[in-house]
Parts: sequence; structure tokens; C-alpha cells
Amino acid sequence: MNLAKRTALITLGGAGILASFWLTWPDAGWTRSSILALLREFVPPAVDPGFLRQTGVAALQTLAMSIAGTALAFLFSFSVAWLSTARRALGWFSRGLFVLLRAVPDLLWALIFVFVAGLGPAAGALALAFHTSGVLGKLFDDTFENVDGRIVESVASAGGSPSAVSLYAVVPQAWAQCISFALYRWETNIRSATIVGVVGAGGLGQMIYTTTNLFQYQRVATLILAIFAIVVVVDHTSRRLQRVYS
Amino acid sequence: MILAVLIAASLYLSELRPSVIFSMAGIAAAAQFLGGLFPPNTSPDFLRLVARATLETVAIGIAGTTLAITFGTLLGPFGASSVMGTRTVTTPTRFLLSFVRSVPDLVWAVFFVRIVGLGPFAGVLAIGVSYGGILGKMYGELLDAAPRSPIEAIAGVGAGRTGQFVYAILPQAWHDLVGYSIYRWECAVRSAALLGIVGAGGLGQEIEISMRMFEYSEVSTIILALILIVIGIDRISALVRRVS
Repeated sequence: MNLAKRTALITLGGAGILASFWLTWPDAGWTRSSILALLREFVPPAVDPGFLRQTGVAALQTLAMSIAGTALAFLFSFSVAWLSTARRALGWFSRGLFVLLRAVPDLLWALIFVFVAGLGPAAGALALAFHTSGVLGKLFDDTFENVDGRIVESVASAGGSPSAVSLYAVVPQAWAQCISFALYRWETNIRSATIVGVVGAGGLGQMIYTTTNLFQYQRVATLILAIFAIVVVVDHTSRRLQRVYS
Repeated sequence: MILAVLIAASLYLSELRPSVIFSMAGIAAAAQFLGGLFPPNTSPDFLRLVARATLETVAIGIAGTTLAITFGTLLGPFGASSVMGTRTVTTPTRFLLSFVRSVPDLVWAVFFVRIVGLGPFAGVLAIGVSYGGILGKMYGELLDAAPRSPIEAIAGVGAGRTGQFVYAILPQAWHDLVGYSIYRWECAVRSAALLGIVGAGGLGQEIEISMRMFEYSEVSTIILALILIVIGIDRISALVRRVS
């Protein structure tokens, strides 16, 4: 690429950035002192026992949502991806299904499930399960495809049927990698589980939404700290399990 | 075994019951929703609205990432031990970055909507803060990953910490720094589309409004716009990667 073209692109990029700030700039109405006053309302975090108990329950619910969503997605996408290693026609179908599942973000799935299953963590768990199925499905497909072909052939040439091949040659090779992908998605899903709560799917996210609407900022501060805590706990647990399984 | 119990407990706690999933009311609602998605609403007025929201979403993504790159550039080096050489600075920096990163961007958006009011600027700040945490961490790690020998060579001829940073660490890490920032910009635009659901402007806000008014044909138009955005930024980032 020549210099003139490069300069033109950089200028265009700079203009794009300026235009973006111009488009999103707020219509005044807030000043530095008002922001500081608002920020001061967040300290100290609320610590009354009743609210802490509520926060604990919500944190547990968020955690449960992330585990249930990941586990359901693992079960579904692993079986579908595994079945489609043996049947080519099913492979086309499952690939399309996985694309559709992951193209819709989990938050959008949550909006839909809140509508279908009602407010509460069930909607969140289903939303996570749907989106994660799409992501894991793609990763599992790729993993199954990249297993060592020699082992597959040796089972097949010993007279193994297609299902015997996938059971004894494909799955054992791919298993550790699949577990590791699932754990990685669990780390992503604990964050998503708080996010989907905001649209009414239960847990800490839902509490954040209700407390902000009630202007209870000290409680919001407690909830943000709780989110930080469970994210850190899940990250550590997942790394631990990762070491155990690989 | 422990895992099985844990998963069962989670299924129970998240109130997933067969009755919830397979209730007649639920299925009817789902059918009504899916049926309502077609055909997408293509009235000129609504398309104009969606086009504006699309532009706003992309703008939130760009402005937010610019802000995040600024934060990441300011904080990243302080979290890199190869640059600082002492843990007294890197440890608190890393803690701060991990905190802003652990709180999801949507929660930051709820927070900023309160502070600066409804509209796209709250989205810009939310992306700036949470992606700033991610970029700051990655910048630190990429700087730390720069091969040691050129750094030691330049230190050997008498360069101080600043000299090592400018002439050995930064040039070696530059390409990765740019590449990673672009990748995060893609993610930021996708997030920006959703932040609107809590009132931070862009397509998300339109989805929220249409869902609330049960206008599902509008929802499907917006989802199509989302897909277009994702394809578009894919193209642009491939172009930027070639140039850098």
C-alpha cells in the first residue's frame, strides 16, 4: 500500500473517531460537581444483614445460572457435534443450527426467554444455554475434525462401524480439549449471567437494575463488589479445574 | 460425582423446571413471538430510524474504543513488570484493571446512564471503562512478552528504563498491540449494540422499545441491521489490519 493511500485511510480513521464523539456527545445538563455528588452516593456500600442475605441469594442464583447454562449447552452441543461426526447430512444441519444459536447474543436470547418463561433465573439459564450451545458447538465440531486421522483409520480398518469410530477414536482424543473449552465458556458465562439479569433474568443483574431504579446507590455498590467477587472466584476455580483435567 | 451434584443443584437453583419450558402458555408466547418476526418491518420511516440507530451504535463502538485505548495506554505500562521493574506499582495497577474488567460492560452502562443520563454517551463511557480494563491488561502482558535480548542489549549500552521502553519494548510489541486493539474494537461495536437495552442509545435501545410495544416485525428488522453491522466491521477491521 502506498503512502498516499495510507495517509488517506489514517485521515479517514481520524475523521471517523471525531465524528463518533460528536454523534455521541451528550447535551450538557451535567457538571463536574453533580457527578462528584452522585459518585459520593455510592459510598459506603450497604451492609445491613437483610440486604447482604438477599445479595448472597442472588449471587448464588447467578452462579447457578452460569453452571446450569454451561452444562446444558455442553450436553447439547457435545451430543449433536458427536452425532454429526458419523452422519454427514446431520453435519450440515448442525453447523447451520450452531451458527444461528451463536449469532443471536445471549442478552437477546434472554429478552426472548423472559418473555416466554417469565421473569427469573430460568430465562437466564436458557439464554446462556442457547448462545453457548452455538459457540461450543462450533468449537467441538472443529475439535472433532482435527483429531489424529491415523487413530480413526486404525479403528475403522479393524472393522469398526462409524459409531464405534467416533466412540473409541474421536471422543477420547477430543475430550480434554472439549472440557477445556467448556471451562473457558463458564468463565465467560459468569459475566453473561450478571448481564442477562439486567433484562429481568434473575440474580445479581436483576438486583442491580431494580436498586438503580430506586436510587439505592449504596446497595448498587455492594452488588458491584459481589459481582467482582464471584467473577474472581469462578476464574480461579476454572483455572484449577483446567489444571486437573489437562 | 461432585460435579453432577453441583450441576443438579444449579439446575434446581436456577428454577429450571420442565413445567416452565414446556408450559402451553410459554409455547404459545414463543409461537406468537416467532410468527410476529415475519415479515420484517420495512416502512421508510422505521428504516430511517434504524439507520440512525445503526450509525449511533457504530459511533459508540468507535468513541468507546478510542477512550479504552487511551485508558489502556495510560495504565498498561504501569502493569508491565518489564517496564516498571518493581511490583509496588504493577500490583495495584493490575488490581484496578482486574476490577473494572470483572464488572460487565452492561452493568457499567446501568451505572453511567444514572450519571450522565440516557443516551449514547453512557454507552461510550461504559465501553471506555470496561474495555480500558481489558486493553490495559493485554497491553501490559504484550509489553512483558517482548523478547528479552534486544532489551538487555540496549540496557547494556547504557539506556535507562525510558530508553529501553521506547527503543526495545515498544517497537517489538507494536504490531500485537495494534492487532489486539482492532480485535477489541470489533467486540466493542457488538457490545455497543446491546448496551442500549439499558438506555445507552443505539440499536439496543430500539430493540428494547420495540419489544416493549410488542412490535416484533420491528425487532426482526433491527436484528438484520445487527447482522449487517457485524459483517461490516469484519470487513473494515480486515482492511485496517492490512494497512497497519
